[in-house]
Amino acid sequence: MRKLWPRLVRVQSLAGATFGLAMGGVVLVALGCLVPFWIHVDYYLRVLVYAMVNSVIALGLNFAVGVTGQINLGQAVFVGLGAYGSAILTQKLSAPWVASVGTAVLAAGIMGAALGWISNRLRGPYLAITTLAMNLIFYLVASHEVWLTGGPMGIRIPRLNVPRLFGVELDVRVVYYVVLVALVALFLLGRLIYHSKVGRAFRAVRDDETVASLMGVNTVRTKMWACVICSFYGGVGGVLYLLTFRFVAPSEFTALQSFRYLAMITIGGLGNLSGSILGAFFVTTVPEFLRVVQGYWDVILGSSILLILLLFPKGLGFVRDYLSQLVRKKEVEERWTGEFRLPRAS
Amino acid sequence: MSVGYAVQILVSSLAFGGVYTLVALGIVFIWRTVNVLNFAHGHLLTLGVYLAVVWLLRGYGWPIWASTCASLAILALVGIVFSRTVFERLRAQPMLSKVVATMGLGLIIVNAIVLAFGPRPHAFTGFLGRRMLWIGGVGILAEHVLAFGVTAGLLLVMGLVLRYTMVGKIVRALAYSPEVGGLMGIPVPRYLAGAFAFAIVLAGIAGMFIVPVTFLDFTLGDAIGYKGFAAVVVGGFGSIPGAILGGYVVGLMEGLGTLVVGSHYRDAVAAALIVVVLLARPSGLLGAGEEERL
Repeated sequence: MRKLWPRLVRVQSLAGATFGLAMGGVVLVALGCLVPFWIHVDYYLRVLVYAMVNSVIALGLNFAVGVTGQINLGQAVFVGLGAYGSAILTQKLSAPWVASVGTAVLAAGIMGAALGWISNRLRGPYLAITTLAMNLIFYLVASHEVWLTGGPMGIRIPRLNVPRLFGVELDVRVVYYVVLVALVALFLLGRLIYHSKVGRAFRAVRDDETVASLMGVNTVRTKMWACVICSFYGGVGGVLYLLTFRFVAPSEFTALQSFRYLAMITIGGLGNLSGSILGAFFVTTVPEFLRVVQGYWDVILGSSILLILLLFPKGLGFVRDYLSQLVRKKEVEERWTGEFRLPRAS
Repeated sequence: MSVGYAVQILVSSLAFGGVYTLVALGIVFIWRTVNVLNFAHGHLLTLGVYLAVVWLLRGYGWPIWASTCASLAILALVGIVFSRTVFERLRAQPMLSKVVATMGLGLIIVNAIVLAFGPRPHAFTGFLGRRMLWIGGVGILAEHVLAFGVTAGLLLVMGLVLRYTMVGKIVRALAYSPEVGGLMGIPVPRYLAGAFAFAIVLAGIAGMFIVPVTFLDFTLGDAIGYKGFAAVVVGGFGSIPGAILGGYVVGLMEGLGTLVVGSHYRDAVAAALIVVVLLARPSGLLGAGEEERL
């Protein structure tokens, strides 16, 4: 009994949320469950599903970039590995769905571990460069190896090949719930990691690598774990992407797409987990309302990133911080402390 | 393979290498002074070539030399404005924010190019057209010789300025530490903006020599930028002589590698080179060991 009490306290702090905040989350998820009953146009529902898929991907990227400070410019590679992996395995080798999904996510994770290992042998911004290079290679391979990837035309998965879930046909409404469950589960997992010992090590490495290593954090291994988590989320996101659209093509996995993921977490706030869901919804759904200025969307996206960096360095996630402040009447922790610098001399 | 063919590949690789060297030098310059990885470097290069070739040369019929100078001036202006408005305000922020800002700039530039000039690729024959020089029975494009000469001249001038003038001394001081430089009375923002603009102008010059070989396309910036980074990694991160050597190594390996893997995978050679260098000798060819900036 004496052992149990601290453990219970720890479980509560692991979830990292007060009662009010948790209730807010439950209400949001409940609302999310009701959405398919309100929206009758499949297209709009599909946009929402896509936003949730992007949320999963952005969550993972935020672990590497926002929480650990490791700049990853190739998140689209991991998404592509997940999507292409499961597509090729089910389509060309007719492997069972679960096995192919497992293999695809595993492949993405191994790729992440390898990149993390190669890039972190020396202190420096090597990960940014290797991931950027990987992205170009992935695009080249996906568009030229026609026998494997279908080339620029991509792979289309016919209805037959999609598994039935509990005997139900996987139409967009069912996929909506599958993706929603995955997003909630992965978000909770992310919160657990964020508030665990590993998560503290991530943040310590981001804020000051030297101090972190002096405190006994194995910085190389920590950075590698950040890459693995990032690529794992990316791989799962790729699998969900395939489930949603039943189609993969190389043009979806370019460096530009990687940058859009980066834009999501910047808009949501670097290092802010719920913020990256907000950012993913922002980047995915706003273009649908801005059909009039379609060609200008990427210019708007780039400009809004610059504006957010200059005006709200913590991103749109400050809305959530503000709300949680209302609920718990407590100082919210600083999300991004920045590094110590001498005062400006000019 | 005949000797002539080998010499031709060697010369064109050296010309490419010189171009990568200019790009890599700009990246190192920005890294050492502004302390940011400039992921808009390749896109700024593309912008410069579009302005010179498609806008002024094709659109208004300016002579090629005048349009090049004008586009370099515009690039420098873009660099100064971006540095003074964005980098200046983000100086207290971690490097990550500045890197994301450069990527935002790159995104804006690429799409502005598509909106202004259309997604269609353009061909450009270069300053000297298809003129050949015949040396001992081996034909060499005069353009390549020009590229090699201009690169070498720029490197020489830059080395002399950095070593022997007051401006060079100030830039070296800022590369050592902007804070201490500021305490010594250097107007830091002005010099950082100048260094950023200079690095971009280097990229603009490189662009004018790379486009005759590849096509002018709005995606050009992705490939060129990342080869610049490859050169930086191969030479040793943050080292200026390393960037020069790395540029030529990347150019040569690309020329040779294309023979092996075919031209489809030309752009993949530099990435493979990055991985090999990071595995075999992480500090690069001329690297001083551990880099302490991130």
